Amino acid sequence: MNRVIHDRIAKIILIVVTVITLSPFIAIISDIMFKGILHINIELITEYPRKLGLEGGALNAIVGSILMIALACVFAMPISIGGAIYLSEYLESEKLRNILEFMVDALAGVPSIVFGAFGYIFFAYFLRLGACWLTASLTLALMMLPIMLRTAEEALRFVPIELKEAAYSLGASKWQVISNVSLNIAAPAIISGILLGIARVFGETAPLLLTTGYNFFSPSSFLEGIATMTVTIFMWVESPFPELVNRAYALGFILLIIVIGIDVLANLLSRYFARHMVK
Amino acid sequence: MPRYKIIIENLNVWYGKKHVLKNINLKIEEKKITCIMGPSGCGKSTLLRTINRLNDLIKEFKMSGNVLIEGIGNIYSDDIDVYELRRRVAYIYQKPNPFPMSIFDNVAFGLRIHGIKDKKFIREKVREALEKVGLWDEVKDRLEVSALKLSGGQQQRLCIARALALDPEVLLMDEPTAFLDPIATEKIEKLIIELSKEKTIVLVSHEIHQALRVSDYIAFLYLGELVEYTKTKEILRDPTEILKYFL
Repeated sequence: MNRVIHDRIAKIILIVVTVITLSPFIAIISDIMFKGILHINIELITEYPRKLGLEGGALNAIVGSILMIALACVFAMPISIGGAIYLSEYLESEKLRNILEFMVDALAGVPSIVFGAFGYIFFAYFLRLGACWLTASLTLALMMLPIMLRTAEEALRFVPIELKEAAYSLGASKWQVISNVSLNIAAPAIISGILLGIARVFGETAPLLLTTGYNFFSPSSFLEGIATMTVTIFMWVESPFPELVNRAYALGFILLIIVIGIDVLANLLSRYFARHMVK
Repeated sequence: MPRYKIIIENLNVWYGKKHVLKNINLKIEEKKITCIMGPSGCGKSTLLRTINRLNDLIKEFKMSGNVLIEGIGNIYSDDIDVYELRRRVAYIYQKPNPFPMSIFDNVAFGLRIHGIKDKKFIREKVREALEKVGLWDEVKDRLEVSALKLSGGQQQRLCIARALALDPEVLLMDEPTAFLDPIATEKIEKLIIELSKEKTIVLVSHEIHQALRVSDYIAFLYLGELVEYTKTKEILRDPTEILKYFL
């Protein structure tokens, strides 16, 4: 009898806890959604801003965010996958691997403003790149690295030893085993790791405040300043014009949809690959 | 005089500090089936893996002695191309391990990694290999289907075809029927006998009846030592004390 009551109490507590967990998420989403939808218009995504953003759209920010992430991926992807291959396939000392993994994990835990400060000091100031597209992308690439590297490494280590041995037993060299077997099998997880890395930095603002500069148009060179969605939202929210605050909601709504879209895509892709890589 | 394909001389193998194989001397006749028997953990698989240097993949592996293969030489000498060695001395695993690719790509895998690009040649080789293992008629209409969709017995025959596509001279088979049902086992055993017309086969088994059905020679390992090595026929005529235990 007692146990039946325990069951019920446990269930109620768990429901309450779940609701508490979900409610801020729902509150934020619905706040942004309702206010965002009210102020969204086609101009926002099709036109560059006029009169310092009071008129026109935010195409500069949308294009800027995409360009910045794309360039960051160009740096982060080969480095993280290469590092993952080294850690999982070549490094023999277990001890050294643990140390390196710890360092990568520590990098993932560094607050984003620290990345921003580092990017500003190292890329913008020391390397004299200034606050620009390239500086922002390099800074973001550093932030993406740990997630991409660790997911790729885990994925490679999950490749069944039997399959690697099968390839070795047919006379494959180590690099052939990696490129023909391990990377193939790990591909879905590696790709979702890349998308997770993108999703992680897409919504970042702090590291960008110091590194992007700003631009009312799309940058025409890597060394030009670049507008991004998050920085634009930040500026608009801080502005004294209620009109801009409303537009910040609309842009926030678009950002939200993009980030959720990337997450969904990551999911779908890894499922698709899980099914179809096996041709 | 029998022609020997593989000659193992004073072979000792250690995994770390564990002495796994102790002073093995074994001559394996060409185009015959030699069955290595013994209880679990006696070093059967280790011996087999030593013959095409798959043990090199194990960090703790150390060895002394010689493994000579006719036509190749001492396989542990420095000038041996180990990837070419493994092409010529194929290994079939206990558990079927096809790649998560199509049936065709599985069989073509070895050819491709050995640098063959001629598509027509690859197609012919794949067909030939699948015919040899009796799988062609079962799969010819669905070569693009994942190999993982095949049954266990079919997968194992596919793995054998994958090795055969490379024209190996020696087949090392580590309990290839351990995970299969009796019907699939029978097919594999018939295949092994058929293949022994062209290839030297070393078969690990822990089942004496299988050894008696298929093998020409039986080698018996116990705690890392070779304790018996005779023709299979003679065992039935005059079983020794150790083998009586298994009969």
